[in-house]
Amino acid sequence: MNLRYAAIKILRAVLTLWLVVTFVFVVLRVTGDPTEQLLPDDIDPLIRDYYRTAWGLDRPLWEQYLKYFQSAFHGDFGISFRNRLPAAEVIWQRIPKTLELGLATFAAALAMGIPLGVFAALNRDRWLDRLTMSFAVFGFSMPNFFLGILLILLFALHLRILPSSGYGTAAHMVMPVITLATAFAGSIARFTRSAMLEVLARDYLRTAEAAGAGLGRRVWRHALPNAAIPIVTIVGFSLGGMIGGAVVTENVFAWPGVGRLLTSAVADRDLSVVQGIVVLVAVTMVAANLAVDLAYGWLDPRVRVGARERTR
Amino acid sequence: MAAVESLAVAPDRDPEPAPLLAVRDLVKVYPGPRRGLFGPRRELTAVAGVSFELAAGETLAIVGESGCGKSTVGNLVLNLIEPTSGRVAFDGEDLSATGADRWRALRGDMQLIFQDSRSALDPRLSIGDQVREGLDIHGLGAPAERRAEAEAMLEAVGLPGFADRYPHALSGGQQQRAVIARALAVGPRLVVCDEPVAALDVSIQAQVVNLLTDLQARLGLSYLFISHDLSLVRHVSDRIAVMYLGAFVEVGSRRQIFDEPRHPYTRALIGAVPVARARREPRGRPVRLSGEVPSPLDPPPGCSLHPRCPFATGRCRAERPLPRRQADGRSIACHHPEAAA
Amino acid sequence: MTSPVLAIEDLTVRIDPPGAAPVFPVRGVSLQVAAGETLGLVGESGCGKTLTCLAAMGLLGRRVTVASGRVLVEGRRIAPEPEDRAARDLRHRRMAMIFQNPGGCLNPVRSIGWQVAEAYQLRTRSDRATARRRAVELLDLVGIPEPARRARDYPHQLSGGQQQRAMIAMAIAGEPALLVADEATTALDVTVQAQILELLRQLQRRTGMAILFVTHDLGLIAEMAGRIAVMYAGRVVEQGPTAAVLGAPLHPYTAGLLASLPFIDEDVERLVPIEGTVPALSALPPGCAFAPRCGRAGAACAAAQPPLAGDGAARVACLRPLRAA
Repeated sequence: MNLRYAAIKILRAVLTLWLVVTFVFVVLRVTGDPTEQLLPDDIDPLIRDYYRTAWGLDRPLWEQYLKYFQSAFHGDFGISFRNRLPAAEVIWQRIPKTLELGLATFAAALAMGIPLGVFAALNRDRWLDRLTMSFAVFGFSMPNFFLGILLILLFALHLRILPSSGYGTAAHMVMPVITLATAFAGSIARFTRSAMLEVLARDYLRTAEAAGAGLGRRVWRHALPNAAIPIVTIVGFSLGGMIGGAVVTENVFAWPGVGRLLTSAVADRDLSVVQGIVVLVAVTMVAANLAVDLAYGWLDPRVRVGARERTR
Repeated sequence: MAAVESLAVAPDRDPEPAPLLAVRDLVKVYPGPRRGLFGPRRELTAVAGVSFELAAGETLAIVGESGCGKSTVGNLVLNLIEPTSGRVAFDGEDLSATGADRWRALRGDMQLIFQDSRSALDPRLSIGDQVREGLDIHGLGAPAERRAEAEAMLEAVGLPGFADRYPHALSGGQQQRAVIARALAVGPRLVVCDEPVAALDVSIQAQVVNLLTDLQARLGLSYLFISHDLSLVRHVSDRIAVMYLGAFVEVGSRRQIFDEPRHPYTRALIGAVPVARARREPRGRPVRLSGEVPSPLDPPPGCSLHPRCPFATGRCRAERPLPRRQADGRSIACHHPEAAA
Repeated sequence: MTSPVLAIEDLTVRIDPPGAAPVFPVRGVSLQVAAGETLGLVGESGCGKTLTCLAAMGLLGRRVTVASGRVLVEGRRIAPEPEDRAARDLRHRRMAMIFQNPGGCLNPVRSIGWQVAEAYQLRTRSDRATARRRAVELLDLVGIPEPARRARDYPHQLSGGQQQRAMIAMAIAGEPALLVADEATTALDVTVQAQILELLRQLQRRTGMAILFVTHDLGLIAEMAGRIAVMYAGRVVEQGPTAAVLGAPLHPYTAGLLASLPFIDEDVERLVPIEGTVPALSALPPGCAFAPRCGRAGAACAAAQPPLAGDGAARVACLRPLRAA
C-alpha cells in the first residue's frame, strides 16, 4: 500500500492518542483538587495532606504530568479506590464480557443491516423499500433502555423464556444483543441503502449489464465491492464505540462489562478507574479509526495504488 | 541569440496605438504531490511562459487540447488566478502591481464568458436583475436608467422582454445569451470567451456565435477566444495561438495557421479534425501524432512534443525550442519547422 | 440488404414520468445495419438517438418501455420480448455498446484485465483462465502497450484514450456482430479521437463487425459512416448514403445543420443558424416536428406527420424536400 498514506495515518493516530491522554490529565486536575472529589468532605485535613503527598499532588504540575504520562504508558492508572486493586486490573477483568457483547452485536447488526439495505436499494421506492426503511428508522429511533425494558417485560416476565438480567449462558445474551443490534442495524441498513443506490446509478453498472451480467452478478461482483468502501467507513467507526458504548444497555441488563463498571466508578468517584476507562475508550476509537483508514487504503485501489502512472 | 521575442503582433497592423492587452512571459505553476514520503514536491506547470498581444477590436484565439493550459491563460489575464510570474498590461497599464481596488474598477473593462452558463447564473435572481447587477456595482449610469439599460442589452442579445424571467425557464442557448448580456452590460473592452458554445447544441451554437461576432462589430470589442473547436476558431478569429503543454507552439493569422500550418502539432491538430464536407488535400506530409498528451506534472525534457512527434531529432530531446518570429510575421517554437512541409 | 445484423422496425419508446403525462422520445424509428457496414445515427441532444440504442440493447431504465415496434438481431426478435429462450442471450452476445465517458464506465475497484476477462466470459461462457489470456490479447489488439502488465492496472491509472481502448476491448470480447458507439469519442481530445476512430475501422476490417455510430458531430459521421440516418425529435427524418445526404441533403433540417457549421478549410462568411429551438417532448406540434422552424413549411406540414418515404437508398420524411428523393 501507499507507504506515505499509511505513515501519515499512523502518525495521526499516535498524535490523537497523546492528545486524549493529556486532555484527561488536564480535565481531572483543572476541575479542582482531586482529593476533594475522592475523599469524604469531613475528613481530617491531615489525612487529606497525607493522600495529597501520596498521590504526588504537591509536586509541580509538569512533574505530575510526566509521572502520569509514564504510568499511563505502562497501563498503570492508579489504584481503584473501591477495592484496592490496580485500576488497570479491574478494568481488564471486565473487557472480555464487553467484547463478547460487542462482537455478538456487531455480527448480528451486520447480518441484519446489510442485506436489508441492499434489498431496499434494489427495490427503491416500492413498498418493500419503504417497509424495510421504516424498520430501520424504528430501530435507531427507539431508545436502548426503553427497548431493553420492553424486551425484559415481554420475554422474561410474561413469557418467561429468557433470564431478565445477568451473565452466564447464551440465553443471557439474547436480549442485550437484540437491544444493541437493532439500533446499529438500523443505521447500517440506511447507510447501505444510500451507498448501494449511489453505486447502482453509476455508468459502470450499465456497462456490466450491457456485457450480459445478470442482476445477482452485478450486485455481488460490481456494486457491493464499490459500496463496501463507504460502508466499511461507517461500520468501522461504530466498532470503535463498542467498548464504551454499551453503557446504558449493560446497566439495563446488569451485564458485568466495562460500561457497567464506568457507571459505578463514576458514582463512587473512583478516579483511577474512570481515568483508565476513558483512556481505554480513546485507544479503542483511535485504533478503530486507524484500522478503517488503513482498510480504506486497501479496499479502494484509487488510494492504494495512487495517482495515474502513464506510460510514455 | 535574441531573447524571447514578443510574439504575434500582426505584421500588417500599424504600430500606432499600444495594444489593448500585452502579456509577457506569463507563468503559472502549481505545487503538486510529493514524490514518496519525503521527496521534493513536484510542480505542475500549467502555463510555461506565454507572451502575446491583443489589439483593440481583434479576436485572438487560443486553441489546444485538454490540459494545455488555455483556460488557465484566460483566468490569469483577468487575475482570477494569480500568476506565478510574468507581466500583464491592459491599455498600457501594468497590472502586476495593481491593488484590489483598481482591479475592481478594471473588472468593468474586462469580462469573462464561460462554458457552463447554467452555473454562471444565480437561480434565485431574475435575468434582468443579474444583467443590471454589473451596472450597480460599477455605478454606471443613473440608477433610474439602469433597468432600461439592462432591458436594452437583453434585447440586443435576442432576449426581448426576458428581464423578469428566471434562469431555469430558459433554454441552454437562451441562458448563454443572458450570460453574454450580463457580461457586456458594463461595457467592457476586452472579453475572454472560454468555450462559450461548447455545451450548446449544434444548431444553437451558430446563433450564439453570430451574436458574438455581431456584438463585436457593433461595440468594438476585443475577444480572447479560448476553444478546442478548430472549425469554430477559424470562423471567429483574426489570429490564432496554438498551445501545447503550457506553451504556444505556433501563432499566426487565420490564413497562416489554417492554410499553411508549419508546426507539426498544428498540422496534426488540423489534420485530425473530422469535417462534414470534403476536405482539401493537406499540403505537405500528413502528420499523425502517436501516444497521448503527457501529464503536466512530468513534462518531457527538451521540446514537450518530442515523444509524439514523427520528426523529432536528438536536438528536440535535449533543447527546448523558443518561439521565433518568421518572415511572414508568424511565430513558431520548433527546431525543424520545415520538416513537416 | 440480406438479413441485417440489427433491424429496428417502427420502434416507439415511452417514458412515464412520475406524476406527468407519458412522453415518447422515440417515435416510429426504423433502422437497419448490415454486417461489415457502419451506420451513422446523427442528431442533436434529445433527438432520441441514445434511447433508440438503449432500447435495442435492453438497457432501458425503470420508467422507460418499448411501446410498440420491434427489434431483431440476426433475424431473431429481442424486443419488446425475446422470441424464445435462446434469443434472450442474443442481445449481449451479438451486440456490444460503448459510451461517452469511459472513466465512469469502468468499475474503479477492478483491474481492467478482470473487466475485459469478465466480458469475454459472459459472452462466450469460457473458463476463467482462458478468459484471462484472451483479455491480454484483446488489450494488445486495441493498442494498449505492455498489455500483460497493464491488465493488472486499475482504470484510474489509465488516460482517457486508454480507458476508451479498454472499453473497446471489453466490447469486442467474444466477437459480437454489432458495436454501438454512443458519442464514444466526444470526450476525447482531437488527436486521440483520430486514433480511436482508426482503431475502430481497423477492428471492423478485421472482424467484419457492423458499427452503429451515434453522435451529434456531422464531421465524425462523415468520416466513419457509409450510410447515415438523421434524427430529429424522436424520428428519422432523412436516411441514405453519407456522401449523398451530406453533399445534397433532402430534408431542410439536415441542410440547416450543415449550413450552421463553420468549416475548417475555408472562411465561411456567416453561419446560418436554424432559428428557434427543439420542441419539448411534452409539447410536440401535431404535424411535422420541424415545421415551426422550417423555412419551407406549409399548411400540410403542420397538419400531419410526413412518413419516411423514398425508394432505393435515400429516404426522407418531408412533404417538401429540397429535392425529389
